[in-house]
Amino acid sequence: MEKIDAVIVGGGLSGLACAYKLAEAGMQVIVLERGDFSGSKNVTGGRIYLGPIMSIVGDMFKDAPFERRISRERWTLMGDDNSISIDFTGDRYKKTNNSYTVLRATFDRWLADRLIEKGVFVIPKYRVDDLLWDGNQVVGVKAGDEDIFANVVIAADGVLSFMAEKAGLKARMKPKNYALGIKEIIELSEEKINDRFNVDINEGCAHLFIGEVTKGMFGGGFLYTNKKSVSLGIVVGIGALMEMTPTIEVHTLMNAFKGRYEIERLIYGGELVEYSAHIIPETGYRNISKLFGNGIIVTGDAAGFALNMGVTVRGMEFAIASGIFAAETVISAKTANDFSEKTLSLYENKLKDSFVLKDLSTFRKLPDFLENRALFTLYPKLLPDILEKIMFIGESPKEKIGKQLWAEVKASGILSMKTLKDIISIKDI
Amino acid sequence: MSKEIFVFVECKDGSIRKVSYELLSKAKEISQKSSSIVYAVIIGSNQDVLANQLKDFADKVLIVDNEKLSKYRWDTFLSVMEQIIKKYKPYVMFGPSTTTGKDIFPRLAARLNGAIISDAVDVVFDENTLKIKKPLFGGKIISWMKCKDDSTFFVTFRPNSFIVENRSLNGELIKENIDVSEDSRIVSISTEKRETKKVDLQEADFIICGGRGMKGPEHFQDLEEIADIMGGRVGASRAVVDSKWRDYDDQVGKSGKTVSPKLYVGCGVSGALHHTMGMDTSKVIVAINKDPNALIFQYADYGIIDDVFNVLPALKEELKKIKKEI
Amino acid sequence: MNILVCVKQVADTEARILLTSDKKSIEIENKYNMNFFDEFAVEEAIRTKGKVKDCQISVCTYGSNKATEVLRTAIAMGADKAYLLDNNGYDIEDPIITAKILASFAKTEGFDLIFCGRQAIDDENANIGAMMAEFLNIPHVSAILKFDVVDEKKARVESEIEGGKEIQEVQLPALFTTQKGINEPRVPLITGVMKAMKAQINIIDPATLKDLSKGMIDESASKISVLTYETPSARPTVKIIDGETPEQKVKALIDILKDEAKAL
Ligand SMILES: Cc1cc2nc3c(=O)[nH]c(=O)nc-3n(C[C@H](O)[C@H](O)[C@H](O)COP(=O)(O)OP(=O)(O)OC[C@H]3O[C@@H](n4cnc5c(N)ncnc54)[C@H](O)[C@@H]3O)c2cc1C
Ligand SMILES: Cc1cc2nc3c(=O)[nH]c(=O)nc-3n(C[C@H](O)[C@H](O)[C@H](O)COP(=O)(O)OP(=O)(O)OC[C@H]3O[C@@H](n4cnc5c(N)ncnc54)[C@H](O)[C@@H]3O)c2cc1C
Ligand SMILES: Nc1ncnc2c1ncn2[C@@H]1O[C@H](COP(=O)(O)O)[C@@H](O)[C@H]1O
Repeated sequence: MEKIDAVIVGGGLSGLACAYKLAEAGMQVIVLERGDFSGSKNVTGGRIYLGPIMSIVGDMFKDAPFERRISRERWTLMGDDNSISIDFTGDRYKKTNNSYTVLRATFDRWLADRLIEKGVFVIPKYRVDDLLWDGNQVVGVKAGDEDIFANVVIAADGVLSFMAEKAGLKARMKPKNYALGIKEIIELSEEKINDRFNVDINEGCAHLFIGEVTKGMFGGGFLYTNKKSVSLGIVVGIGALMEMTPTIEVHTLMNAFKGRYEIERLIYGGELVEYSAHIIPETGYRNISKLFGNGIIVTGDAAGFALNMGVTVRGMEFAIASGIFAAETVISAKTANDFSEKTLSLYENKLKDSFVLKDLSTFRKLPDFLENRALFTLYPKLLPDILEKIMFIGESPKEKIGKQLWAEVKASGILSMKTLKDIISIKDI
Repeated sequence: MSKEIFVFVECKDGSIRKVSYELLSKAKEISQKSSSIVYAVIIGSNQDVLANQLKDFADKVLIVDNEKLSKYRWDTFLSVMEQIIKKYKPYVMFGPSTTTGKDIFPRLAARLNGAIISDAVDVVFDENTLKIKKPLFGGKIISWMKCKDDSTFFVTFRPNSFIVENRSLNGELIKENIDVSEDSRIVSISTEKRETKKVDLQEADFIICGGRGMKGPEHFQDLEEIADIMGGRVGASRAVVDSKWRDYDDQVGKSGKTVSPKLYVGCGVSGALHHTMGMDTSKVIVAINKDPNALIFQYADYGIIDDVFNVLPALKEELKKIKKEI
Repeated sequence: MNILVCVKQVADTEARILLTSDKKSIEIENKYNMNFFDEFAVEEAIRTKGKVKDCQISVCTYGSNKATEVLRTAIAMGADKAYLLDNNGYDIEDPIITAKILASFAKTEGFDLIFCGRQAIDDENANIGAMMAEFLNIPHVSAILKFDVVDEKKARVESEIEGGKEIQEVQLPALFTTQKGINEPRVPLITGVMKAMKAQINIIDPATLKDLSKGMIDESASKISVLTYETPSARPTVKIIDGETPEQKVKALIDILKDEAKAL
């Protein structure tokens, strides 16, 4: 078989975005995806920020099947049996926010179909098993009994990237470098969603939960509204999970979360239609592996480009941007007719000049900061507890508010050197 | 327009298949509501004894006796059925959704340009029409259909859809003299019948089905013994058939046979959708599995959570006792 | 030799299927496959092509635009030509009409050998093959397990019959429906898929086919109609039989089966 321009391993957002740009430049591309179709195996919380990638995507997302545009943000701090919520919206949000909820099974599939129309071969149900080498140059991939030769292989195969590992680009990861996410899609009628989340048609709400959700472990819960369903899930650091004694299973956390009054009210009457679990890279800037080699480029989750800020995860726009930069790099390499490491290093420069590595660098200390358990136990619980003292009127006479507050704060242990240190450390992140 | 209901009687190994009695029983029930009569149509050679057995179940029994019909072939049977239908112009003809029924009915409908609904599970006479119930998508959806044409209407039903009721009708026997024509383009070279006295899987009232949890072909002997006690059959999941522990003939499920026995017992079957699609119309489902989370418990009426090898000996003994009681 | 394979696109067994609120139609989740039994038909055609001279395989489907996916799958496996008999998005309920259309297409093109699947796993009808053969006035054999071409004019097949198997010789042209066990359908090569994605699909309006007209194949021609759809009644939750020992459990089960379920 002839050599094609690029073979992309993984039909997630990163691989598809890369293919899109390559196809626009008239290159011959194959995307191999092991799932039944693009998006069938992809898990995301569900919120994509288009802001950072607006200038590079072109018309890739014209008429894309976004679910709802986020016009409302909610945060809930969860105590043991109480909670406090912040509900934020604003005109700027309503009018110009470029953040949408998406369902990957629909979204990725739509993008794949567009690519097929453009003449890209997006081929599902094929798993790539290995790389093909010529000396120290990657020259293609092996899938089943077939060898597919290409100038460049794009490893867009997601968080556990086998390809990057086979190319010797990936460092061995520790559990600490991953978080586990589980997610359920619960169907609810459009009207119910609009009512329960107080949003207009096509407008959506992003609701994050911190505190008791994860029993104090690093992570949190999320709920995103789609057109006719909500995505509900939790993210927990695998490191934290492993250290937990007695051991606790993530689905136990999930069930407890779903059973909370706060959540139950939002989802009752809904029908569970999909359940999924997935790993999230938690690499952090410092652990990012080598991003390219002779004839190979690593993109998206495979390269560890995700920013887990505890409760929110940003990965999709990183995946898309890195896919696009990889495509641009391949286009240059083709012009130069050189697919060695030297030419492909352009990829890293592009990443460095963009939000991808800049944001990751900005938040490089976040992982350490977030290891602090107090963030997920003490602080989120304190506020609801205080409020409960103030708000709740029982049988006994009320005490002075100030006095109560003080007692609560003192009892919580928040007035410690440790807290002070936590506060000071905020300046680092 | 006549409202006669015709039932194609299928015979196997010298006797009338149970499904034919089922269809006749249902046909009679409907004919009472629609004030019409039921004809049984029996085609073969030397069928007098069998035809007599049909008298209790039909108002009229049409007998076509010809040595060319000693063995089923679509071409000969079709030529006979065509002539009968042209002569009597019945309102509807029922047949079994069996290997034979599936072979001949479509071709018959096409030849006579009649309407056909295949693989149905129920029929009611309501608002002066026959409403036919047919599962779709492996039972995920049920449809109710009707024929909107006045040409003869053909319906095939799954075995075990109806209860057999002997109404002692003492029907009239009518011999039909019909020329049988054979299609010379097909020549039978040989046939190989499986040596078995056992009931057909799709007709069995009792099915004990083994899955991969049975661990190996040798353990199916236990299931065979239980099936024999109950006069039923052993079924198998695809995992078992693919491992060549059992023949494909025994496979229950989407890509195997659709069964609806009175009692289905699944032993070490996980209950994958492909499997349950072929058995979830069973009247009573019992599952024996050591994994409490096995999917099959979502379909079963009764479940035993235990090692199947601990359960089978006791089950065999208890069933033996029961059969002795009766 | 000209071979035709009729393939149908069906909902994946795992696809979610919903009723519309008026219960008059159904919505199928976007998960489709080539009908399970049709894969055997395509595979058998390809194997036959490998055994005879000058052989060409055409595949056809009567369906919507989306159904071109199964045609491409067949090409990826090794079929040569593909035809979409476009239903213009309208699903006809009457199998006779589908069979008439397919037969008329076959007549128009002329084939020596036609393969269909034993049955479609969505409607489980097992109608189309035998009906097509009738409309074409050619012999058919259902549920074949072995297939060999004897010469240009004759095939020898083994098929499933009630309680056994039969070997027959059949004069061609003839139609055969394939049963599981006849072969192991191949997984297409990636290069095959690439070829298939590029392949031209011939789109035909069935009303223009030999002996057909619009009035013969539209809704008004359908002899059957669906009154309503229903979801099957849910089974009650399982009763787990308790007991200290397996023997006790079995005893308790037998009692329940006798007294409550009346299944013994
Ligand atoms: C619970 C959860 C919540 C999240 N929430 C958000 C959020 O709200 N916002 C956000 O921006 N990000 C979120 N993320 C992160 C985001 O989903 C990922 O960063 C993003 O999906 C990465 O895209 P990708 O294309 O790199 O990888 P993926 O989407 O994982 O795609 C990789 C693809 O490669 C395929 N593949 C793998 N190996 C092979 C092989 N050998 N051969 C062929 N194909 C192969 C896979 O099937 C898959 O389709 C979340 C993640 C999780 C798990
Ligand atoms: C297109 C397609 C069509 C298919 N068609 C069919 C079909 O027609 N019919 C069909 O059956 N399948 C079909 N399948 C396969 C189906 O999806 C399942 O793979 C299959 O049914 C599993 O068989 P099983 O339950 O025997 O095996 P498994 O899934 O391996 O289950 C074995 C079960 O045995 C239990 N077990 C193990 N040991 C013991 C013990 N000692 N005591 C008690 N329990 C024990 C286990 O807990 C487990 O639940 C099809 C699949 C596809 C893709
Ligand atoms: N719409 C269709 N287009 C092409 N072939 C079909 C179609 N419907 C049925 N068939 C063929 O007929 C076989 C039996 O289908 P059915 O009679 O619907 O069970 C299938 O396996 C296909 O080979």
